[in-house]
Amino acid sequence: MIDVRGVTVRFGARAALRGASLHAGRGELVGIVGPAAAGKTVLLKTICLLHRPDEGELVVDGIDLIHASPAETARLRSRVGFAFQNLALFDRLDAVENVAFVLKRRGIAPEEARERAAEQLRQVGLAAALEKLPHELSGGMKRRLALARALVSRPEIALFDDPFVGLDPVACARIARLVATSHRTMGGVTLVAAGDPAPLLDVADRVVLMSDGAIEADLPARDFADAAGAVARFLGRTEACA
Amino acid sequence: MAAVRDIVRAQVREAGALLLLLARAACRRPPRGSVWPELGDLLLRTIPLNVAAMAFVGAVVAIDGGQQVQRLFGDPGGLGAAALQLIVREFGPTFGGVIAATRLGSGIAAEIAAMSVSEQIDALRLCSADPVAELVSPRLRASFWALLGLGAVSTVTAAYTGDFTAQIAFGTRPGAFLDTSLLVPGDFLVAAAKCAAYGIAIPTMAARAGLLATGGSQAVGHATTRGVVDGIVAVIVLDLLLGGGALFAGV
Amino acid sequence: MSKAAALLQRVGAAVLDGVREAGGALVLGARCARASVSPHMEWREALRQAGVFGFGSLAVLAATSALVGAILVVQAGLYVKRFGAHEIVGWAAGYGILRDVGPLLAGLVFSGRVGSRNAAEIAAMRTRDQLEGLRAIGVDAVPVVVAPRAVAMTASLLALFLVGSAVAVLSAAAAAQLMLGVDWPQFARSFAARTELSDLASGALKSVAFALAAALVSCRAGLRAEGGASAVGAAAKSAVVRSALAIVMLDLAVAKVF
Repeated sequence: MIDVRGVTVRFGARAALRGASLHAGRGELVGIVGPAAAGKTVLLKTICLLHRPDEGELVVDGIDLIHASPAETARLRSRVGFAFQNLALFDRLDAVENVAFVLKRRGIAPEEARERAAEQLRQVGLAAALEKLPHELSGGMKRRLALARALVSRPEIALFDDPFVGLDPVACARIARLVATSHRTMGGVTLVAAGDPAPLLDVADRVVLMSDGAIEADLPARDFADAAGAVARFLGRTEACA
Repeated sequence: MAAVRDIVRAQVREAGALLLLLARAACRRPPRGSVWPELGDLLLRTIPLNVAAMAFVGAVVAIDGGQQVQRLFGDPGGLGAAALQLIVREFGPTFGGVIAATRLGSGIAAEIAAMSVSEQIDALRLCSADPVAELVSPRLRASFWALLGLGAVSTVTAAYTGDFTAQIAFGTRPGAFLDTSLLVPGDFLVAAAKCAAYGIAIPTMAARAGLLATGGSQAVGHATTRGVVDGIVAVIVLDLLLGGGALFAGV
Repeated sequence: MSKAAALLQRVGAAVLDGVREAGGALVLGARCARASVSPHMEWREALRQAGVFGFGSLAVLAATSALVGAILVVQAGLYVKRFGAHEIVGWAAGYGILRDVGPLLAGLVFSGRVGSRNAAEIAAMRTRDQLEGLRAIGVDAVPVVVAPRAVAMTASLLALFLVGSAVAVLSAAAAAQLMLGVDWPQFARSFAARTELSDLASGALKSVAFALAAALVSCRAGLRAEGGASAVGAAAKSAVVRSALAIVMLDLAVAKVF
């Protein structure tokens, strides 16, 4: 469903992605793991064309995104749910309005949008915070709000950019469960980027290792957990980048 | 030499990007009902500052100008009409514009930069919402009208405080510096043109600075700085272009 | 509460806030003055920052000064064309550049650029707890962070004012020739005859006052920052706005004195 081939993305002189290749099929939950500045965020954003590749091919659900028309790109984006690393919560809207924004933009009537948003917020455990503004929420609650916004449109392509950062292990496990449940329900493809692989190992089908803009390894999750060599290599890279 | 060429090329590209942003913001319709609250917000934020600042500016114009005229001609009161004309044509709009650039420019740049850094701009794009239409267009339209109002407020404030100060400092008769005998419609035309131009330039420069912000909190501070400075410089450049143009056209 | 009373309350609160700000800035200024004669003063840092501020703003201020020189000629041009008073051009440029518009615009641009960046840097240090760290090891932030910047900003704006004035005069002379047909000898004569040393001194004093105000206000804004990215932006914004108001007030104060 997602087919990234040899994609390079440059910002000025720096290459954030260097010849990255990734395939993810329908029904797969793929973890993308790597140190900071490895290119995880850029990869996820490129998949929904928030960054345009300078080289390579990008085919998502049969659509060649690099040569797609704006209308085709918009249609594809309407099937994507993205949870941003920096949350991207709209400061002036309360929780329900933040989540409903996505639906209203897809043409759903305001009343129905608010109802579905409220329901989604209840599912992530934010029933008590429907009318709160983002700055009134704790870190964990903000993360769940961002998650709710990504999931409310029932996306076939779910992209999560490090939803675990700054959370304690209990909260991490909760987020991982939400991601997995939603993935099973939607039946589409889910990509989760994370600096720390631990929360992903229970829920992911595959784990991809990124470093310096390139994909270094692509393993089934259980092999990643077991293989001491892969872990040691990952730790070694983390140290080098720290 | 190559460095100079690179700088020139970079500036030309930047100017092009600014004009493109302005065109997009001007042509794309803002969300319904977003302009009026923005306008109200802008005016509420800037009028107090402008009135306070222009009161001092008006007083300084009277004192400095009066002193100089005293040196040359002996009687400051005689040139009150000329002073008023300068305030209407030049000091009111331009200093009002610089103060507005300080307040509006920093406000708009900081707001948009904070959104950019927290990826709200990306979130908008993913929802097929156009960030320029949502964020820049309402601010552009609101600033246009706000600057016209602010120009008027600034001019009136400076004129009255100037007259008051001249009375105290030089004992001129009340109203000497409110003498409208030299004023022609062209003066008001030039003033309005300047304010309109500032109202377009300030939010455009500030929005561009904000949209380019990437990274962390440092980027927000950097964008705020850039928004303010670019806005002030734009006001000064437009002042010269419009003032010089008016001079040539005989307005 | 009636609307009038609410408005009055807001105005009163704003005035009190302004007075408190001014007081706070003065206190900080006094601490800087004391720090500058203490052995802890980081003169090397002051020198480095002066270079950064001065050279960093040189291009902007030179460009602004050139524009201001031309604008003053345009202003005078109104009366030259109407009354044929060619001799006033040199005089108007001189007094405007040195005493009036020149220092004011230079101060506003400088505070917009350096003051804003200053506040943002110090605010970022605050949000990263770097200043708390200094305090924890018994180091006072004022002689290490604030006083060097205050000294640096004052020195650099003064230097920029002098350089900028020279640029502005040349630009005014060129503009006078191009736009009004006033040739260089006539411009120079009118300039020299009417411009006095006190004009330059007034402009220099204004520059020093403006820079000090911008430095103290921006440092204070940075030191009071709390929060994350939005706090840094808020500090920069507040620094710029408050400096502008302080500058305009000082402009009047110096004008009255001189």
